[in-house]
Amino acid sequence: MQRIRIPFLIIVITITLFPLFATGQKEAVVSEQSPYSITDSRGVVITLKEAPQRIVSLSPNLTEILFALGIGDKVVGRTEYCDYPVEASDIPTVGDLFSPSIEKILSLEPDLVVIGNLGQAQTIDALERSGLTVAFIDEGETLEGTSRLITKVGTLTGVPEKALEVNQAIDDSVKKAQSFSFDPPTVYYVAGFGEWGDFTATGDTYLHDIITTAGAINIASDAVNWGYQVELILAHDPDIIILPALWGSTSEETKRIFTTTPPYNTLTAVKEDRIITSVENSIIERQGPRSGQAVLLLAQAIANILR
Amino acid sequence: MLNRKLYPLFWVTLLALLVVVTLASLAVGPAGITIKQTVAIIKDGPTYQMNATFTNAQHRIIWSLRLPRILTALVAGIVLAVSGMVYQALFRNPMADPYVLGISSGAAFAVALGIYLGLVGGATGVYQVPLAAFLGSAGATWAIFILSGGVRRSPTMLLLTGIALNFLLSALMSLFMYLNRSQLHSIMQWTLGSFSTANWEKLLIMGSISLLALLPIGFLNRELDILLLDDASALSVGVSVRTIRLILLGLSTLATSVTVAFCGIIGFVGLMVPHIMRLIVGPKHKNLFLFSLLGGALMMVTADTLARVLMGTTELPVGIITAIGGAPLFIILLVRRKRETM
Amino acid sequence: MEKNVATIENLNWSYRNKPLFTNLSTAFPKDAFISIIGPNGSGKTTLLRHFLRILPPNKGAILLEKGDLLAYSQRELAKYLSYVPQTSRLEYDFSVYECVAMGRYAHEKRLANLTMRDHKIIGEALEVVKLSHLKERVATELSGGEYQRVLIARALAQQSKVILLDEPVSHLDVHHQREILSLLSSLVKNRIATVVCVLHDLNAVSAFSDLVIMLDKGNIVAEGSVETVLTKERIEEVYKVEVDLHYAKDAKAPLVIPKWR
Repeated sequence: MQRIRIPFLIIVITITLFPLFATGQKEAVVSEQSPYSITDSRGVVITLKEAPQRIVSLSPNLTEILFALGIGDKVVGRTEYCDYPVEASDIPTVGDLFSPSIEKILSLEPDLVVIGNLGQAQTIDALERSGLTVAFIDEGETLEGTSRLITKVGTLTGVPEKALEVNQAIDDSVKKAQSFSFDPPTVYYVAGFGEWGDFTATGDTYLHDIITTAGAINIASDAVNWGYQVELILAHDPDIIILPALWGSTSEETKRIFTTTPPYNTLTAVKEDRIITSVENSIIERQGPRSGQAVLLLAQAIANILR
Repeated sequence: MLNRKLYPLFWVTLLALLVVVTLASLAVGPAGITIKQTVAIIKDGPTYQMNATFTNAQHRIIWSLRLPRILTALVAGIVLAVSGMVYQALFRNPMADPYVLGISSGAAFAVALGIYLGLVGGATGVYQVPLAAFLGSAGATWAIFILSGGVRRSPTMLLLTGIALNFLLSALMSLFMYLNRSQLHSIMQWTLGSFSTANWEKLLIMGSISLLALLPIGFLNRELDILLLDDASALSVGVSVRTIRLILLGLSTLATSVTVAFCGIIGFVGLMVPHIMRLIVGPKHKNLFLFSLLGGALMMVTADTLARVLMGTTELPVGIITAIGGAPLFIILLVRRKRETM
Repeated sequence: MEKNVATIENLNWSYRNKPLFTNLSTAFPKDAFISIIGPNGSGKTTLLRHFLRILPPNKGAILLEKGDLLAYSQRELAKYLSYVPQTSRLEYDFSVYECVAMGRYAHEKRLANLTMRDHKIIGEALEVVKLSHLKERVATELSGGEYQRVLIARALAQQSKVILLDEPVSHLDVHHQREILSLLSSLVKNRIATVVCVLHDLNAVSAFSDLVIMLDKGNIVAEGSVETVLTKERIEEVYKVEVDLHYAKDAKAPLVIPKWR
């Protein structure tokens, strides 16, 4: 038994350490004056010889951005969850957010793969090992981060002027939103409630930034990581409740359930029907070109209620 | 083991501790209600009367959220500890817990399946989940019973069949969780156990069914003692082994299933409490019943309080607290036991 | 009918389609020391288990005083029969007293505690097996022999008419063997109980039995007094070992000495 152990042990150790010896990143061939170059959010310098013609996007928000930048026709692959704009559904999918098919991606022969903050390190690693250029772009969960995001994508894909336009449009929407003059109401965003636990747009989320930019005060700003306790909702008794539709259900149905489930049915906002259901999840949650619209819609809805 | 004469004192001490912890639990929580306010709110009674000391919201938090929740934890603690005691006697194994016959895996599987099929989930009624869980528990236990040959067979057969089915159901549950990744966290949340959705209505249903089911067990202490002997001896002494076993199994399974249906899967209490009490007050069920009852309530209320306050604005699932608290304790007991038998 | 505490009538029983008992019939007379002997696998323990109703007969019946064994309630049966198993491992820290007290179950009222009378009987049972000094000791701390005596005390506390014992003295040293068997014998002589004992030690059987039932492969091959059953031919035939029988002066019961080499 002893005799077999040691060589076996050596083999096992070697196999596990092997990945360390394999060097990772393969940087694309660079030409000195290439304008298609950014430092991605990992700090890796991505440089392309020319504007990418075949892009695979592994994040819904990046897909949206690519279309907003006018280069949706260059997108050859997307994830199942990239559902906006409607044209995106014509593009073949490569799987889900957590484990997309590397094979599928390779078969599409992209010259650029973009991936955002929902991407997994294993995915990036596997793609780079296969020789693809991967740009990980995540500039922080704020509106400011969104504009940096759009700029980076625009630069890398060769349409920086369009990126400027898109960012400007977002700014304009935000300015319009902030022109509504109401006293900032306290607000609670229902990401999840009831049997499955209470979840909200805690202070570290993108939603929080949208809410505060729209002119409201998020009662859960001091909380982190989405989790919340129901008694705090009761204690704060927010002026307005933002209630997006539950997964797999409609807004009306969700509202009906929320307003009849104890203890939520005792909240003032429920009793006085100060519930916003009109803002769609994907607009408000997705960090992308529609974020300006999200802020505006939210501010509008709040203004309507407070009137 | 404690001197027999000290048992009444020990019981009273535990009771006092329980009262203290319960009251303290009422006064703590992230909503920042002071003790003074808590006392005033309790004195105010269940219906809110305008008061300068506290707000309506605070009143509601105490009466509609915290109080039913703490009482639910209390009931759950009692049920799991007493059921654990019964299972340990039925299987003649101090390491048995109420989940060995599929109650937990059945419930979790049913909930996962229900979510996958869209039958339970955000958009359905309040009682959908408990119902699904209960049916799952009942189904799993029944299946184990039938597959193992019923009461005719030895407890060991039941146990082994239970282990096999638990594995199968857990695997299936994982499958459904995987197929349904967007709802994965919902299922996980539920299986970890929580009292956060407790209310008076649920408490009434859960409490009345499970406590009524446990009541007869309090009168079967002699039989429980004798069941620890081998079957032949128990029969020869006059105990209708099969009948008593069936009754005990049925009652404790019912009580546990109902509790799991409303509260999720909270582990370790059913295993630890009777085990610890046995070390302190001995194996006679006349004592074990009373002490497990109190010990279970105490452990659960404490765990739930910790679940609520440890992380400030969010709460931990109580099943995690009992596991983290229980596991080291468990290991200590195992080591002790090993040392004793060496 | 009054003579016998139990009658077995045409008992048939198979184990996994292999018949063991075929039309087995016998009777246990009252106030007798009855020994059941036979080689391993002859069905001695199985026969006892039928009395406990752990194994139902395929055909035939066992009749007790009030009728069919199967008609008795569990408690009633316990007042009639008690049982001392061969080995019994207790893993829980019950005291000796509590172990013996379990024997009173059939006599206890549903929700009441043990009465003064119960305590008296338990005390006496402990006296008889000479374990009074250990009554508060945790039963798991006793030696094998001492624990065997606890089990016998439990059967005594049960105050049953018949005591069934499955090799009660195999784990005891010769001193305690004699003590227990003498105790059982005196119970019989004083008409306190009928003893039915499965024994391996043929000399013990020889010394104490009023009636011997010899089984072989599920059949009763001999039944009667010690001298009629324990003959050289029969023992050699059934046990398949050569023996010498010695008779002490004027004794009818033999000393059985197997030829070891």
